[in-house]
Amino acid sequence: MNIIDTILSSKLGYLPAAEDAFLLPVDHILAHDGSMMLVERLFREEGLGNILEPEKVFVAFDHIYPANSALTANLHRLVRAFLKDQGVTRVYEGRGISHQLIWESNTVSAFQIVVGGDSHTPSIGAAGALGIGLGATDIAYALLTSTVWFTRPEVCLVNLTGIPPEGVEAKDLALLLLAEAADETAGRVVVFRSAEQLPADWRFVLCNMAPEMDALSAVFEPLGWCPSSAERFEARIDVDLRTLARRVALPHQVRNVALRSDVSGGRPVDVVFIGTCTGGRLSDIATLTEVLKQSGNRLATRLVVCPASSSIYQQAIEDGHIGYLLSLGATILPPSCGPCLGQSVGILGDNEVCVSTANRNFRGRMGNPHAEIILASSRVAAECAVGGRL
Amino acid sequence: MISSMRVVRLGDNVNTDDIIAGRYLRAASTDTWRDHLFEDYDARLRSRLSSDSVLLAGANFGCGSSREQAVLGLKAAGVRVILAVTFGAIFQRNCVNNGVLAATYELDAGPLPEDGVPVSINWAESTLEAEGVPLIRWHLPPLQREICLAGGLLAFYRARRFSDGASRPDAA
Repeated sequence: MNIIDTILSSKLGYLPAAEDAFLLPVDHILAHDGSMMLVERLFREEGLGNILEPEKVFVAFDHIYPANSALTANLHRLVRAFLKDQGVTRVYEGRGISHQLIWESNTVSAFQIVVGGDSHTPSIGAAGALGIGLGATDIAYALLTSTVWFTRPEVCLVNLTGIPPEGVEAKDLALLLLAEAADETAGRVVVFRSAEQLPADWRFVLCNMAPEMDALSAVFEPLGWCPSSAERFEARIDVDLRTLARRVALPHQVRNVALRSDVSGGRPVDVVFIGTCTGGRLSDIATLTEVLKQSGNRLATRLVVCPASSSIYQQAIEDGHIGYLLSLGATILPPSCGPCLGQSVGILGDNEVCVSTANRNFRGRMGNPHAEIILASSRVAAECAVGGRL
Repeated sequence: MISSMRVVRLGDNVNTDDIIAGRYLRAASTDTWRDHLFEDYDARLRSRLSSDSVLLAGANFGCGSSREQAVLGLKAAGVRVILAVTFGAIFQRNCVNNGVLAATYELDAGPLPEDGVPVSINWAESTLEAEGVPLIRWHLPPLQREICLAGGLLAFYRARRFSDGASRPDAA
C-alpha cells in the first residue's frame, strides 16, 4: 500500500475501494480568523451546539492581524468569544500563520489527519501527515463530529533523486511541477519521495503548494517509511534535482511559469515581499540578507518582510537579520499572512510590480487588480530587490 | 427537473479570488459577497446572474482559496447549478455542502450551448437539456449527490443521514 492508503486504512479499519465515500476521523482541526469567522456564524445562526473534541482544535489569528478596521475587530471578538465558550485552548493571536504554528507545535505526527479551514492545510504533509483544506461548512461538520466526508483519492508519486544545484530552492521545484505536471497531479494526492534527505523547509514548501498543483493534498513520505512492493499509484513523475533551474510565475496565473534566465533583467520591480506560509521562514530571511550583503548592501526596491511566526521572528533578531534589514530601510511586519491576501497591509498601487515569495499571483490578490505579482524563491526575490528588475 | 434556465459561459482557471475579491471577505452580511461577485474578473458578469443561471465553466473552476464566501455569494445571487470540466476540489465541496449542484462534464461530448441558451437540468438522467434534448451529461458521485439534494451538509447532518458512529455513510 502507498502511504495514503496506509493512513486511510489505519483510520478506518479497512481499505476503502476506489472512489468509495466514507467519514474520515480526524486528529486535528485547524482554522484561522478568516475561516473561523464563517464557522462561528454557522454555529450561531444554525444553533449547532458544542464542539465534540475542543482539544483537537488549533486556531491562529493570522489573516488580518492585528485587525485593520472596527468590522474586522468585531469579527475577531465574536470568534474569540466562541472559542472560549467552546473550551478551545489552542488559540494563538499574533504568533504567526496557522500552518507554520501547527508545524512548530510538534503535536502533529506522521500518518495523522489534519483538516483545516484553509487551502494550504496540506503544508503539514511535511510531517508525513495528510492535511486536507476545506471550507467553513466542512470545518463546522468536523467540529461537531470529529469527522469529514471523504473519498479514496487517486495518488501521484513524485520521485525525487539527486541533490539540487546551489541557489535553487523548493519553490523552483514547486513551480516546475505545477506548470508542467498539473495533468498528473490534478485531483490527486501527491506523495513526495526523495532518495536524499531534503531540508524540512523544502518538504514544507512542496506540500504547501499542493493546491497550486491542483492536487487534493500532498504528503512527504516520513523518514523510515518503507514502500511496499504492491503500491498503487495512478501517476508517477520523476525529477532529477541536479537539473533543477530557477523559475518565476508571471502574472496573473500561478502556472504562467518562466525560467528565471529567460526573463532576467526585464521589467522593473517596485516592491519585494518576503513572507507567507510558503516563503516566510528563517531560511528565506537568511537568504535575503545573504544576497543583500553579497551585493554591497544595495536595495533598489521597497522591501517588506513578514516572518511566518514569532519564533522565526525571534530567531531572525538573534541572528542579526532583522537589525540588518532595518538598517537598509526594510519594513518588518508582525508575524501573519501579511500582504499576501491583500486585505490589510501592503496593498499594491496601480501598475506596480511585486516580486513575492507567496504561493498565489492571481489578479487583485494583493488588493489591487491593476497591479502585478510575480512569484519567486527567496533568492530570486532578493536578487530583484538588489537589482530593481526581474 | 429544474427548467427555464439560461446558460452563462465561463472560461478556464477562474479562481475564488476572481469570484469574490479578498477585500470583500470580511463582511457582516452575505449581501456583500452577492453584490461584488466577479467584480475584478468581469464587471459585467454580475448583472447576468440570477436564479435562472446555469454556470457552464471550463477546467479548474473555483481553484485557489478555500473561501466559502465565493459559494455563499453565488447562492445569494440565485445560482444553484454550476457545471465545469473540472473544479477546484474545495470549491466543489463548498458548493455541495451548501446545496449547490457542482458537477463535472466531459469536454468532448459535443458542442457546448452558447451564452443565453434556454436549458433545463434533468436530475434523473444527470443531463443538461435544451427543449428535451440532452446537451451534456454531468457527473456527481453518489454521496455528493445526496448531500446536495438534502440541501447541503448541515441539513444532511440534521437528517442523520450518516449512521451514528460508523465510518460508512448509509448512502443509497
